[in-house]
Amino acid sequence: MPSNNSSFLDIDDDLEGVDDFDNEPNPFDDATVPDSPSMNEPTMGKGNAVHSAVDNKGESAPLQGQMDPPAYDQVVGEDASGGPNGLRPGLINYYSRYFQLDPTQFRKRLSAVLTFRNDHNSENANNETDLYGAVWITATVVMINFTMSGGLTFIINEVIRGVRGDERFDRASQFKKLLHSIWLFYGYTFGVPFITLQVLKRDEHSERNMNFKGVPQLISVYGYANLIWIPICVILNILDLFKHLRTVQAIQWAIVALGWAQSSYFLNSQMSNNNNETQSGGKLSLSVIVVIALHSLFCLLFRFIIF
Amino acid sequence: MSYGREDATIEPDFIEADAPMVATGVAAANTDGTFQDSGSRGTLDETVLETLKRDVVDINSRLKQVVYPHFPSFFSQCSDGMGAASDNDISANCDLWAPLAFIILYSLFVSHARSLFSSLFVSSWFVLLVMALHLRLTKPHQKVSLISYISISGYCLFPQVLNALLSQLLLPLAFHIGRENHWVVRILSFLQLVIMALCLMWSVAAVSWVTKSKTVIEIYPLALCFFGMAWLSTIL
Repeated sequence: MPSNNSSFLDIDDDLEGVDDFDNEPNPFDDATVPDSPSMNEPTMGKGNAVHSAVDNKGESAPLQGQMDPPAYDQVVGEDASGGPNGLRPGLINYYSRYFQLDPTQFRKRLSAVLTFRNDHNSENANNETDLYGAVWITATVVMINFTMSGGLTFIINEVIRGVRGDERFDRASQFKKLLHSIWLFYGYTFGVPFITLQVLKRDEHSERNMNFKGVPQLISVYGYANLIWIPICVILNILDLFKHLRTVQAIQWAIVALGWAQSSYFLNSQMSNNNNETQSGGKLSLSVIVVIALHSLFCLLFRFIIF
Repeated sequence: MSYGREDATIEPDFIEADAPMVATGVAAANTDGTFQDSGSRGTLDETVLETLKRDVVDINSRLKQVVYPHFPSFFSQCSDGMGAASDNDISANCDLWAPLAFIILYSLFVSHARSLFSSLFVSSWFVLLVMALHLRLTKPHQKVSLISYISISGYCLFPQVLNALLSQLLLPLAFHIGRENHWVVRILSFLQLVIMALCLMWSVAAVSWVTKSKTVIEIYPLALCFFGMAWLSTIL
């Protein structure tokens, strides 16, 4: 008896009483079930007409009737953004989440690099990693290195002095500069984080290894650290015109050292987010040494190869 | 009896189910139209000249939609509705003919048909690929494929072709005439820079309009890529 009552689909159990009331079909179902065909009919008709225009298959109409409720294009959109964990790393949409950011956020991050602020990083570092900055800040640096010396020579020689020469500037050196900037900057920004992550993982002395879960986050930090090289490359390219002076070379060295100090400070402050005990403890952990050593090497290469 | 009240909440469900149906109807009509368009192409019984002419006219009509209206004139005359229409059109039927033609012309002008041609050709395609990847990555919700983005940015290369033509072929002729005069050199060099700036603005305006890029985040990388190409054609 109770089993009979619990099942909804049983119409009649030949017993009179209150039970019959329970077995009465749901008024909700009554309201919807007879309605639905009549309401679906016009849409089905439309779908049928449309699809017979495209392809004359009889199955398309019932298929359409089954598929229309989820509004299939929305599902595709959610697939790309909402469930990034379901996407494999080989797909473009998997990486597109690293490139979604709005201008105010981006500006805030840029200003955070230049003003040594890293207070609000710890909470949104996990979910808002972006590779946009890493790719395009580095691209800007490379572009400045490539175009600026040639551009300055062009303006000084032809626009101001009014002298036109066939071999205006040595193109070979320009393209050498381009290639060297590309491998140096992109190699450093996208290659070194793999090493750094291993070092951070193996370093037991600091708490900082908890902060970084993946290489993209580290790449993002390294990319934003490149921001300081934009003004530095502009200044160095201007100073490069007076390269023969000894004082100018000294100034160039000083500027590169300034860039080294700023960016290595930024890297370190990013990697040890809020726990100041590593700094206040007085002992330098292994990871700090490795990061700074790699960064110094990068700065020396930058100075010797590109300028 | 409380179920009766739910009727009101159920009804919109069925109405909503109606809406995508209409949308698919429109889309189906659209694809039908484009099928017919592409069906009329590629006939074998016409002369090569006719085919070439049709392709050129095709490219020109596409340029009319996208690139020509955006010559930097400091006032915008295009409405959003029209933008949506032509954007649909472009992402529906993209071609790589125009990018190929433009890149060949560009590298021909810039390299003066010397050994530089091949590297310019390859790097131009690479730049287009980078731009398309950038657009694809920043707009994952738009259902436009990578190839259509390559095609779109290839069309927006047209001002760079003009820039290369002017600053590599026509202005050097003038330089040959007035080589000794300092003022001629100054004016012509300045003109080169102005042409570069105008063509760069033209390209960027066109590509940001057609891909509906509004923020700096989306436009800046495109502008950087175009700047690289414009710079090469000015200075080489």
